Amino acid sequence: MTDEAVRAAQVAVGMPVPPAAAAPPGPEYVGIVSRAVALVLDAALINLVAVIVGASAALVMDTLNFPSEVRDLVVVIGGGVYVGWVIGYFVGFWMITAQTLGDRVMGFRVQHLDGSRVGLRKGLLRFGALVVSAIPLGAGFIRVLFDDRRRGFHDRVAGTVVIVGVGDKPHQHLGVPTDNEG
Amino acid sequence: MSTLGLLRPDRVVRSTARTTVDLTRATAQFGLEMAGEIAGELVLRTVDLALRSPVTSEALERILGSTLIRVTIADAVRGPVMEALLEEHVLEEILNRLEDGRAPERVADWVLADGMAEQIAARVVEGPELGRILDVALGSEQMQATIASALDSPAMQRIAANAIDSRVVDEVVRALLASEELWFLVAEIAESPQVTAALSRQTAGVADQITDEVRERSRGADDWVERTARRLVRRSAASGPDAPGGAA
Repeated sequence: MTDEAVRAAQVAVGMPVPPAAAAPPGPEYVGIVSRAVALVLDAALINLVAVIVGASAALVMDTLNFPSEVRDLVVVIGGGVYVGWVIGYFVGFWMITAQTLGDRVMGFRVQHLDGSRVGLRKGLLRFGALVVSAIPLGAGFIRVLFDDRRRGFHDRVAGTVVIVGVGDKPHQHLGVPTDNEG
Repeated sequence: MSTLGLLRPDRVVRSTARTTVDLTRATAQFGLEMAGEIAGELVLRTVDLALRSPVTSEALERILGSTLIRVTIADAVRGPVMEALLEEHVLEEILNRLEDGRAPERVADWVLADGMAEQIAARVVEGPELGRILDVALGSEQMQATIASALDSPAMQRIAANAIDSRVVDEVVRALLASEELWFLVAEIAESPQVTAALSRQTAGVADQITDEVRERSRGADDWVERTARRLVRRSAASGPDAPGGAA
């Protein structure tokens, strides 16, 4: 017999019914503005590092007077390194600490619906979906405004949520079924 | 005739008697003087002998240490002699005479000229008595209460205000600012671990306050943007072609 059935029977026979225990507060999902601020902070940090590294590389190349073919090759390699740096930054932080530096400043974290940390595959998937969401003028992020759990397109693809929380705390089970919308 | 007149027997006898009396008187006087001198010399010799004798000093010590002397002195101090001295203002008279004779100035001159004041000061400063006196004085509650009362008094406040307003303080401050030791000390304090840790804590506290403010405002913006977007969608849905009263 479930608790609800017991309570119904107690009410039916006129027995005093103790008040139901207050449900623990659910997770607080993070909205679009906070996530945008965190994304701006992350982008600023990523590009600051990229600019410093790129300027240093350009200085070295100017000093050593490489031929133009080598310069082109270095530029191509630099572009690849930049893309890898961006992917590695986001996926690495999601995997290791569940939050990028911008997320930490804004006080939220990214995790699966069951509270577990994002793995490599889901991290890469979420990053790809994030890029796809941003391409059509950020249309993929609009869904954050209307979703009950404030999930964007990339969250639904990767099965993640963004909740309020700072630091690498033990992962909290959100008490909601895992969906496979992605 | 005249010679016979001179040799008259009665006159001779009288003259002889007078001479004999004078001679006897002179002899007696000489004898008395000699006896006096001999007696005086004898007394002095006796006194010298007595003073040189160790027995005399021993006797004096015994006399001075005897109960009789102490009782006698005590009776004299307590007795009518001292009362008479006090009542008759003899002491005042003595002190006035000393003052008229510039005795205090002469004593002070003698003490200062002889270096005795320096010796007394050195003895007091180097001796253990000053430390004991200070310990007792500073440890007493009465002294502490007196010091506290003095520090709280308006007079002390005026003294402090005058001291701060004086040129001495300005000179001291100017000299301090001009000294390299002060800036060395300031640098040492500024670089000390305690100060740097306090500054770090303060900086971290300010950063935390700013971050908390940004988070709070962004959460509010989240809710506002979301409410606005949903309101716009509901309004557009309500005014759509399928809505009652909407465009066909």
